[in-house]
Amino acid sequence: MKKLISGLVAVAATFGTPMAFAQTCAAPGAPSPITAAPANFNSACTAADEFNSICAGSVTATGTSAVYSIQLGAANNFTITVTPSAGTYDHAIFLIGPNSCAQTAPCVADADNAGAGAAESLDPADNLPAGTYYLVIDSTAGPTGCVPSAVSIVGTLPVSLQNFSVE
Amino acid sequence: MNTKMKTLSMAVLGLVGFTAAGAAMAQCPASLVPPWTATNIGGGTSAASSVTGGYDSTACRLQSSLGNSGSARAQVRDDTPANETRYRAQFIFDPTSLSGAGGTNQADVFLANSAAPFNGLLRLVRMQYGGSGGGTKRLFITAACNNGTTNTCISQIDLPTQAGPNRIEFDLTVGASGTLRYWVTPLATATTDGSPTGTVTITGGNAGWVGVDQAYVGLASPSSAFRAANTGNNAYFDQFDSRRQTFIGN
Repeated sequence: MKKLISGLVAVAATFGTPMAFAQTCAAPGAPSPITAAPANFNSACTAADEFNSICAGSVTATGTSAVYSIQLGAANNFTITVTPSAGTYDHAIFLIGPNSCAQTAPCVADADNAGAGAAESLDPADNLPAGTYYLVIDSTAGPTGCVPSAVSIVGTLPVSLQNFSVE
Repeated sequence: MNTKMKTLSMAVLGLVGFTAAGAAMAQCPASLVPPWTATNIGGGTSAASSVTGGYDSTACRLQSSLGNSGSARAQVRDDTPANETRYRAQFIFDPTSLSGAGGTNQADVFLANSAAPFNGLLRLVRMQYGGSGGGTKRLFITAACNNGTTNTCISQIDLPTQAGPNRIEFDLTVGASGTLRYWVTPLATATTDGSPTGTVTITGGNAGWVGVDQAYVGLASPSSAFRAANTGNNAYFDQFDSRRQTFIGN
């Protein structure tokens, strides 16, 4: 007997193994897709320079960027904090989407005012439309690529379970 | 909004001002949309609005200021262009309230983007306000070009009016032999199609970017030096006009 169940769940299963070193839109870094909060992980920054501009092409981004996907369902409410490991690195963080990871995707929220070596925090509006969003760790300050960072996501990221089967 | 409406023809791509059409009134509209497709405002206390004091007999102008964020932007967006292989645009830019100190004191004032990146770049034309290092206010013009290295070809010019409005126009051709001519003149100076202020050599052409699909007017992407000197300072824009073929001029 096989049952198909759809609905809202607080935590969804991960349907695939993230590539260990990829941090691009096509292959977001582990632990993507991020489906539950709190989520705390280290961003190694082994990414490419995928974003010359961001926020629908309106903001200049420089150097390499790390990309992580975040799966949101209804009634979400969360904040993201990224702390660089190097005191000289002035990073910027962007949440783009939904369901698009490109220079032309709009910015849902962004932060770049803390200065070199300091944590940046972004707090998107509550209850963003459900979908896949992308956290981009980049810089607007200079050509130096991103450095390893500590990423913390707190709050609620409920997701819509798309397919669950029981044999 | 412009009270000085230009004569439009079939060659006109778009004409976007900062108040309601033909309104010669002191009160400017609360919203910039329409005529603009959208506003793009974010990053700290960034702000964009239509205010009185337009140039060349217009009633209103765009006031743009940036907050203290590297991702700050206070722009309006025009989605009228559709992969335009010939794109001519003009606008007025007044940097009176901006400091010109610092050679890395830069912020975008205009962008013409393609629909999709080529060689990782989306911007066909990027114009930045900047300081010379000695206090002189400049315009940096960066064009996408397939030169095999940076993918950008660059020119710069001192703004002819350091404290007041400047008229900026460019004529971009997209193709294997792409071209970019520009006119940067005082507001009242007469201009002709055959005598641009300068050109940017598009080494390797710019065909890969296909054409202009979106334009932004207003301050954005401030450098840290710009933020130190100009956070909260107003820049003003007016009389944006874009076309496919005909010279806009003055």
